[in-house]
Amino acid sequence: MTGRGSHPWGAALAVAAISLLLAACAPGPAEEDSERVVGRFQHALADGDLFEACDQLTDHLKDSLAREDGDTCPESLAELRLSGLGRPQRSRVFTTSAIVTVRGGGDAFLDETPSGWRISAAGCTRSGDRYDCRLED
Amino acid sequence: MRRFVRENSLALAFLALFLAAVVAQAIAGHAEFNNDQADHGGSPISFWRYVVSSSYGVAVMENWQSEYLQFTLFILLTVFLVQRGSPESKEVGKEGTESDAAQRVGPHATEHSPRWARDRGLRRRIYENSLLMVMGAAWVGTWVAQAFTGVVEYNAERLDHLSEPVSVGQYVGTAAFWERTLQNWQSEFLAVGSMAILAVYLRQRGSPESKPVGAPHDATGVEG
Repeated sequence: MTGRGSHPWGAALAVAAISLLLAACAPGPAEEDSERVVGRFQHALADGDLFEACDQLTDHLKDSLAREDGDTCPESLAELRLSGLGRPQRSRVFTTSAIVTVRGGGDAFLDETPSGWRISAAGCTRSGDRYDCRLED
Repeated sequence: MRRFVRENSLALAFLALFLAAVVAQAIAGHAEFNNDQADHGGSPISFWRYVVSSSYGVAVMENWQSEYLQFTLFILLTVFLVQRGSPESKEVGKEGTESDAAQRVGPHATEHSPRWARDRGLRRRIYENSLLMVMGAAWVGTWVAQAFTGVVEYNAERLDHLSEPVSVGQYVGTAAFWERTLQNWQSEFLAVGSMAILAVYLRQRGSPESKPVGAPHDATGVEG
């Protein structure tokens, strides 16, 4: 029999609760991975490496870009003249979907695909409850 | 061991049914989740990732909260309300928390009464409401869990439509949260209400949830 105030279950529960709280507040691997993809996309745009930028998009978005006017994905991307200056600031992940806020504007939406996180919409600006995106499928 | 199983067969049977159903729900839910992912070009997720996901969490929690609400309300309302002829009800005229003598508490407790029922202070107050308190806490806890898991699934859908995610506080004010909640509540209220009425006129021989087969329709609070 354990005395009052030193119950081992109480201590274990407190440790578990604090761990859960810290885990909930800390960015997880999904947040970091999605931010990294947006970072690569922004770097590629800034460097003019549009093939690399296209690699960060979902297949669906790449296909829809390639369909427009028969251009390739890099050609369609070039016409959009997206700025690659902003850096990813914060990622919010909801199971297999994510939104990454980009410093200076141009937020991105991502889906988790068999190849990892990929961008499904980019160059997005919030307009009320919704986002207007320059690049979306 | 055999004696233990026999004396606890009802709880054990429901525990086994619960485990089988909750695992089967996870298997079906995982398959459905991945079908939906495939339709949208998304990545399939592992079974264990699905089990700890908010998609599975909200599907489980929205049903748990309504079940615990059902029993919480049933325990509370049957203190004050009656249904003539129902084995689920007290006799008409016995509405309320009843006397200490009828409840065998304090000086009226017997040597076999639970220790806290013999107490005259706070412990007795807690114990005489303990069933309602635990069921009520389970309801509130699972309802809060439904909100925290539901908002994740809701936000995933919002991102599909390029909409800003909402906080859990905003989510509980949405029609989506209340539709999920009320669709479960209405079915529970219907089931309990129909049980209270049908048991007035219908019987199941051998079940304590029914009156004895030969009991008159207006006999209240009689269990078979």
